[in-house]
Amino acid sequence: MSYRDIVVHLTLDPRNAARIQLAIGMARRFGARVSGLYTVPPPNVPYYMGEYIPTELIQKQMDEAQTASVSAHTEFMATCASAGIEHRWLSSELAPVEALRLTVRASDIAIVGQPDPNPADPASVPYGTDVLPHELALQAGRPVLAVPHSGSVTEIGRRILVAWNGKREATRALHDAMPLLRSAESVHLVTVGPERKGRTLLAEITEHMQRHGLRLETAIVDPAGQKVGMALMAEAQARQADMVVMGAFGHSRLREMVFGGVTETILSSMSLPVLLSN
Amino acid sequence: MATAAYRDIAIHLGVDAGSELPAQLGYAAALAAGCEAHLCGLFNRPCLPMIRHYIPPEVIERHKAECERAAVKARQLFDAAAQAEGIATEWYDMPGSALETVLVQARASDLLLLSGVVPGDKTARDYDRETLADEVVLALGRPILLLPGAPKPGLPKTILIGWNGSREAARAVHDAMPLLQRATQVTILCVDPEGQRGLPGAELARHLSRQDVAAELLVHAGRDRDAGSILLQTAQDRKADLLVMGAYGHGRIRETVLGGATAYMLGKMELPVLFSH
Repeated sequence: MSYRDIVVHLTLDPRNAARIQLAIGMARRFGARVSGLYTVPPPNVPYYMGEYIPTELIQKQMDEAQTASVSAHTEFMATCASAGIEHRWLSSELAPVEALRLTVRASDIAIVGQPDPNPADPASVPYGTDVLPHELALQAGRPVLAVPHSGSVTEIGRRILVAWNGKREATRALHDAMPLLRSAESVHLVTVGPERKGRTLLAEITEHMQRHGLRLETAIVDPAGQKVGMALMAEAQARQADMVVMGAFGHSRLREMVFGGVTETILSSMSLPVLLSN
Repeated sequence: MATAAYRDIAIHLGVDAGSELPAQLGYAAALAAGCEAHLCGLFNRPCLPMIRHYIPPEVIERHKAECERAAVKARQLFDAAAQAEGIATEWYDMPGSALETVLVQARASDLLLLSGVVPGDKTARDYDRETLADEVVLALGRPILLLPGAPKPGLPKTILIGWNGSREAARAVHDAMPLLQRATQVTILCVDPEGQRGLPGAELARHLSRQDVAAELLVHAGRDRDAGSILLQTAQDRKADLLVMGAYGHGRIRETVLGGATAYMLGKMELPVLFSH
């Protein structure tokens, strides 16, 4: 299986360019088409305005949104065209998760932004993007690649760290990442201990991946009192990984408490692109 | 050109295997051969339920002997089927609950085959098999292929996809990609109540063509709750030899997804179904 259809989320935020670049890099590698899906933010009226909302304010915001959408469109079309990548523009007024999930289900992978972990002004966070990577991963049925909020991302997938705990979500992530894993120089399957069932599967997974033509390096890491998510990020750095693959855990209460925390820790502290699957 | 591949196919075998087991193993071996995959047999020996912390020794002995007989027989059939197709195999013989053993081993595979219910066969054990399929499909993270009765061996040529735009359907389609790419005819069936959703499935058809799957789109006007019977009717009309669909998180897969009345029909058609969640 290869990625032939890539959806990239674009909205009113300064990181569109980084996501487009990443999408183009992947499209080039896999011979894919890139669909830019722009979500139009609704007017954002501060709560202290009470019931009276001047129409000029709404009009001004809508005009701004319109201008931003036009410039995002121009940027996306021009960048893809000059890269020689097949592309198309889609636009939606739905919230990002709702807009993306339908398109992504008939695609191979979605590229979205990591929400700003420390926004200076919460109102400046683009509408609906605060929950985007995690929620979309739960609802899309396809892998979601979250791009860090800051820093530059040029080439990914040379050295990949796969977070492995033997669970359903990790199984999904591993298999969904296969096209990237196959073109990687090295793949590191890392379990953060204390491991029980996860460990017994390490040998089987290694063998299974070997049949897919992949050689894995496996490691069991002692979190040494750290949060599991932090230990994983540290391990990724120590192994000079340029991306992380992991299961997105969610919704069921108990699992959320146990594993959802890891997903959230990673999403708020990630410095590398993270592929999430559920 | 097929770019997606199954390299590891697993099949679960229990002590309750029915008369259709040789045919099902033949199907599994032929599928593995067609995909150039390894076939992994997962046999499990169930534990006896404790009755007031005491089980008479002769009961344990009988149970052990029964497990042993079943294991030997299953292994023989498995080896014979594999030899006939000349495929590489692995055999796991594990104690414990079927769910646990299957989950642990099959996560290291690309597809898990499970036997389904044969129509008219109303033993208590069938209930366990069906329940196992339901639980496994939700918890595994890999697709399952449910084999009702004795399907005819060979790679599926005519595949029908039940598409409703859900997360689960998206999973099923992508998990089935190696089979879709090797099929000669793929049909996407959408059941659309009032034509509200534009042309459902058109996006999927275009997407599949990028994955080198030429799919035909069929939109059927009908209510959601009739989707199961419409799907099976279409499968029968088109002589489909595989159904691909999402498995949802509520209730027994064949009864809630396909509707009670259609469960019988599915069994009678001996139509394998690839479910994913």
